[in-house]
Amino acid sequence: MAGGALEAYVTNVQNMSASGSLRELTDISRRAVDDVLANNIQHLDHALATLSLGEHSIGILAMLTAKMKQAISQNQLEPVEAVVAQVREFVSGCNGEHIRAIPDMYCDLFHKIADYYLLKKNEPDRGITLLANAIDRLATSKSQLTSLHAALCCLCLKARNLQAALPFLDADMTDILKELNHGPQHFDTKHFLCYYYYGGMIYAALKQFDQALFFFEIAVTTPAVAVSAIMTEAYKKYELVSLIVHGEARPLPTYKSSVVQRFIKQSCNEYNRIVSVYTGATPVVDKATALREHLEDARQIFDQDGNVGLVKQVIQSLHKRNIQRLTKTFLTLSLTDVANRCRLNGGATEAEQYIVQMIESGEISAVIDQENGMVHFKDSSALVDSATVDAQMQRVMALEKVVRRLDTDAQLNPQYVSKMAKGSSGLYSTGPVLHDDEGVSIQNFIPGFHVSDMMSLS
Amino acid sequence: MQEQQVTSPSAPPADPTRPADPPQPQQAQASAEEHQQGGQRQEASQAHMVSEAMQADQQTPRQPTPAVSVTVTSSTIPVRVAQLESAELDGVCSTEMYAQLLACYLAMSSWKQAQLLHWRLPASPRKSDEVKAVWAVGKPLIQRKLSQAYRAYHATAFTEALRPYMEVVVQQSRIAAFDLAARAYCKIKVENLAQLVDLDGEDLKAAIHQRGWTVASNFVAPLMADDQKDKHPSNDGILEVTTLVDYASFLEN
Repeated sequence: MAGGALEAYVTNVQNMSASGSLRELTDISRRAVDDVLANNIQHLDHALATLSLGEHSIGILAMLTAKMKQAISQNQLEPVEAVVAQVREFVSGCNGEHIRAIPDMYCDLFHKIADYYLLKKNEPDRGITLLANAIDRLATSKSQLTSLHAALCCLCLKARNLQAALPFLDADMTDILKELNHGPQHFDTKHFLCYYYYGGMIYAALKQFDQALFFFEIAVTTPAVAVSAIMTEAYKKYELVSLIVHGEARPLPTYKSSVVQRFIKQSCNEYNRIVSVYTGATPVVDKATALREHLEDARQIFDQDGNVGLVKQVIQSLHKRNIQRLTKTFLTLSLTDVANRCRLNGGATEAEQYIVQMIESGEISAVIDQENGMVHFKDSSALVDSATVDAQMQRVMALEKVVRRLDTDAQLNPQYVSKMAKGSSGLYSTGPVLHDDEGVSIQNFIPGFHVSDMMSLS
Repeated sequence: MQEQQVTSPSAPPADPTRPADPPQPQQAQASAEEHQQGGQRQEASQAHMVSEAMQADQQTPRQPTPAVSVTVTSSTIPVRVAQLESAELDGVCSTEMYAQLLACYLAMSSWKQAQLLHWRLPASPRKSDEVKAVWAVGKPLIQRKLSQAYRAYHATAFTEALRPYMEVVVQQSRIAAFDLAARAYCKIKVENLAQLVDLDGEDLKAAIHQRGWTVASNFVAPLMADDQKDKHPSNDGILEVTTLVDYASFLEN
């Protein structure tokens, strides 16, 4: 009987949670969502009342997942809202160890909630706090990436409330939670790409272009066997942001995939044109005018890609870059000369406005003499203060510790060790040669130890 | 049977700042026996009544965060911003609170946040008089058209709740404008300075004199304040040398 099956499931949840048999419990919970729990939706609230949030999180999660599936299938808002309220309570008190044993179901539930707020209810801001709390519960540290990070960034972008995403973007990701368990445990690349693509967009919207460029670069240089739409869109933004930050389209790192090298530029012709005009590869009389004309000609494409604002910022950065170039050549210049050399239609007044803006933002160091209509450029070393140097050095030192730890982990990785061992065998091996080590190799250090043992441990 | 768990060597150390898991029961086995014996009485007292709590939560919706009547200064504004941002994410932000949040962003010179907030405002708060009044000052402020911003400020009668925040906005703008004038100009026309800082006549003269600036032939010669030259001047030479030695040895290693 169905009621009996539900009771049996609840009993299993209670017993297995108490005994710590989480793997078994997760297996039966995954089966139960579409079976026992789906057939007993009307009794689930009563069953939930008999379970403890901190001790039986897996069972509660399975029940909430079943309820959410059924509520979504009804295509009405109230049932879903009721389940979401229950999920809010669940997140506030669930057991982190339990939900990390069944991350696929946990993430699937919150992806459904994110889709509900994004597509059905059209209130993405209402899902932000819930997703943020869900990530805090799931991830073992701030530097662990989950699929929910991308969903949160998407909600923040749609809600235009970018502040909430910053704590999850500013952390350096050094670990990925392998959520999916069909086959060997793995992580869907789509969420990885989306996280860095959305993160780049958020930073670009906040005008933190250095970080935006880094995020887009990661998205584009992710190992791939085919160029995805996400990578293509990230590359378009990468080119524009690179112009803003560096004044040129920096080439992608050498570790990018060969498919990216061959195919990605072909789908970005309008952007390649912007790069060639900006950098002077295409000779034009007035770069800013040429770029504005190109923007109008290809407006539809830029609109479709959502890059009109970025292109306008590229044009604005052109004037600023011209002024910055002047600081390298001149010590003193009249404002009228600045306007002429930078082709500013507004004359000395517009030049003064640009220079004051750039002084305020710290892009140049200069003083204006309104009495004589002159601008004196100062040494750029005056822009740096000791507090900034201290902060940057502390950041570099912290980053060095992280890199050192990752390097140690990589050297201990069984796959790496076996590859190195294979590489050292054979006459013409190109890998590092394991010299006669006078008895300090792993096999000799731990008697009876073999590399295959390390692989079986993993 | 206890689960055997193998910790991967690449697993990052647990972050002490993560939210802690709920405490495990002291006597798990005793609890399991009680379940088997049908000890619902103790289970009911220990269990979190999940669905009942959730139903109670639905029946009593969260109230909006009340406006806190405290003196508004540049140091209290970040605290207020955190409260208002949290209220916004919870969906309990009133029109007055939206206007306060917008004013707070302007007071902190967070232009991008102010723009994004104005962009995402629901239709009703965006059309309200309070928000329109704040944005009439904020928009030219963001565009660095300071004289227009000051004119809008003087032409508007703000509500009791908003007035303290807008006063801080103008105060901070004035301070920032003086700092910018000191950094960007070696000589600036008196009229232009007056437009930048929204002062004229005796008030402007007093402010110029207070900063030790000189006036000659209708031009003001600003001086950069001492605390602007190095924001964190080091008072301890030995500490600075030690720090530099640490940096040098790190970079060389």
